[in-house]
Amino acid sequence: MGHLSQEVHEAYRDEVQEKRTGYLGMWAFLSSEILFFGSFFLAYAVIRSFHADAFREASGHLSLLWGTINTAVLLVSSYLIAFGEKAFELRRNKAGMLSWAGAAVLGVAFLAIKFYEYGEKFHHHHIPGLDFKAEDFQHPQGAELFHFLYFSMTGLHALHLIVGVCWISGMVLWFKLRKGRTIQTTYVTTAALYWHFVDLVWVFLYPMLYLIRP
Amino acid sequence: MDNSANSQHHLVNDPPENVAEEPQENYLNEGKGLMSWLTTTDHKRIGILYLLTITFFFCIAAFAAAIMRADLTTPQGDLVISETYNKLFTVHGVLMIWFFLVPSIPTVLGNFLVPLMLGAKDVAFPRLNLASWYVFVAAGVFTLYAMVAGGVDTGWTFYTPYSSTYSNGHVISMAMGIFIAGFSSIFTGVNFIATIHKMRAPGLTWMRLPLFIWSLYATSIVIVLATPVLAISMFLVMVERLFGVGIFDPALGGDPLLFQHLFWFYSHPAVYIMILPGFGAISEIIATFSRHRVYGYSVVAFSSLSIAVLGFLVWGHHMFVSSQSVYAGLVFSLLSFLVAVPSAIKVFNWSVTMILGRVQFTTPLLYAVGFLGLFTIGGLTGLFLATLAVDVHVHDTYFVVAHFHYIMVGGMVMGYLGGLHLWWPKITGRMYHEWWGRIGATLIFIGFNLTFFPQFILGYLGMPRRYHTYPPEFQFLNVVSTAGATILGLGYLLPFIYLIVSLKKGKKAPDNPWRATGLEWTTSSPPPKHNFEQTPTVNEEAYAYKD
Repeated sequence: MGHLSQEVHEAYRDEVQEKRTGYLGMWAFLSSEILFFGSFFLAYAVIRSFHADAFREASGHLSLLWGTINTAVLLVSSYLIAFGEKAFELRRNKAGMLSWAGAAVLGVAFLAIKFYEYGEKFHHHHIPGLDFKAEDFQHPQGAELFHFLYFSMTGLHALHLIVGVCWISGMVLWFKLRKGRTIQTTYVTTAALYWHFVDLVWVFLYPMLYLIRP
Repeated sequence: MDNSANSQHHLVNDPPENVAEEPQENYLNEGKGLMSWLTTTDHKRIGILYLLTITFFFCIAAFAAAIMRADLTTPQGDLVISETYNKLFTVHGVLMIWFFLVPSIPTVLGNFLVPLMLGAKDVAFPRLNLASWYVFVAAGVFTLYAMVAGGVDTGWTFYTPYSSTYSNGHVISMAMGIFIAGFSSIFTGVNFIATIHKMRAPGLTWMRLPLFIWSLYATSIVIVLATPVLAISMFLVMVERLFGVGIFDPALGGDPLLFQHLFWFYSHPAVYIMILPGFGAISEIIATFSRHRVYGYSVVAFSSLSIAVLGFLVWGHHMFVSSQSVYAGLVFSLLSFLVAVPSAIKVFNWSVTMILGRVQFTTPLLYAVGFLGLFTIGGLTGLFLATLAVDVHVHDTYFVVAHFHYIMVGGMVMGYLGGLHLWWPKITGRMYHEWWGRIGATLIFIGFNLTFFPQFILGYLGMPRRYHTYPPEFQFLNVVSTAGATILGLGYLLPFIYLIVSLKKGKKAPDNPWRATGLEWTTSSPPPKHNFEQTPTVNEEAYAYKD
């Protein structure tokens, strides 16, 4: 099908169709993602209903400072993604690439802080299942489950963020290599949707894990 | 290649005379060699890859069932020991559900037909489509490893804390297989949703879509929203086993019922992932061979969607005898009854379609008629089980086993085989032998009833499921069931043989051997790589049969 333009994948009739299909595919995927995290939210709700005091106590062992800083980092990154998306739309590609590169850097910063926090947990022997120092807690059983949920939920979130950072920085590099050519809004918007979703998940994780402290 | 001299018994309609003598360019001869198949993004080839893969898994799972049935011919279970028996029914359940029934119609017929029926060149995301097959195969490798390494004895439901704490089997590997298989499903679901929304040919409005498309659309929504929950429940079982974190273990502060809630939140909708595509195939078969538009088209279309929605609200009926609150039980019972309404609407409308039309009793139609009978029995006994008090009596007995086999095998497998026959000429470009087809469909129907009807009685009399020994008074019905399974096995063997034979010896299929409506029949058999010479335009409703 050589007569199709290079920009349109051969499955599609035209660019408009390709664009709309890309958006819808991403929305459908994100609806699936909601249920991924939703299962953990359910587990969290059920286990917390059994161990409310333990959850409060264990939450106090997380670093409120780093959690809050990370929340700010992610929110700013989302702003940069939105700003960059608008810039690409207005064909201000340089501004777009700069702000997306900034978002990717903030994503890396978030991950660095997150892994520092995990390191602290190792240091304090608060690793559920493997190395859990029960003496530190009044309600060790519930605290261990809280820590398990903490690691699973933030771990799944971090995994998503790693994908997001690779995706965003890959796109910035790709745009750079294709200098001077138009940048397809499909790719920009689908990546931005994903990034905002990952941010949004954190907006729920932050109060559930960090802010229920006594 | 030319076997047209080899005269085959011929069916309903005479094919048009202008069947090409020379093999034309089509998706099968477009590229040669294994690599051209393993790197293809053609939805039709991916459908074939899936067909081969799920047939392989079906054979293993059927073999496990055969050993179980053989064992159950004597009350003391002379063939295998209890532990082996447990591993057999686990393999049977896991492979049949996640590696055959869930992917069957969507990934084989769906992959092949959705773009053709929509007048599109391919699915929305062809590379994602191929990725889904590789993920599926990777999932199969984990599952087969668990089998070969020593098996799993938990049953396909993986109830905790048995699966997470006490079982000695290779639970982690098998759970990993199921976890990965879920992603393959999700990829397919996302692909179909985007394809059906955005890739329709000009003029092909929602209310002109074939009902097969409607049913796959409803299925895809269920796949996308339910499968992630299964993935997380399997993940939590694996973690609990690996690290001893007791999220489902009451001794460690966890909640075993949480597992059941998560598991059934997927696994009940999964029933509709399995049966809805069957509904779609049946709608096509009945319209084609009644030569009549499906009666109440829009009601049938929306009943698929309402089943998809209701399917998410009934999972608690698997947990009536757990410690779930009795009030929750009442609500789940009521909601489960409601599923009968859209299901019955479909059965009535199909029946009316056949009454209004001129029915041709071809092989696919025999499968469809078999489906109507078996699905009705399966559905009605589902109402027994949705009734709280009756469920307490028959819970975990053969009554349940018989009920879901009537839906899954009597319903879904009949729909799959009927659909495979309906579209076989389109997929392969060859006609199968019609009389062998009819004999196969009849044998399957008889064998199926002989196998599973006695199990309703056994269950009602109190024979529990998942035991490899039983009191001697149950022997007669068990022998009948095993005898039926032999006939059923033979029935499955027949299409396996004559369909393969048709590839070499079958008469060349014309473009539209059944004189059916639908865009897939307007292109050649087998279709060219990009499906249509030019994008078709639709200007009439589905099933516009003139005669």
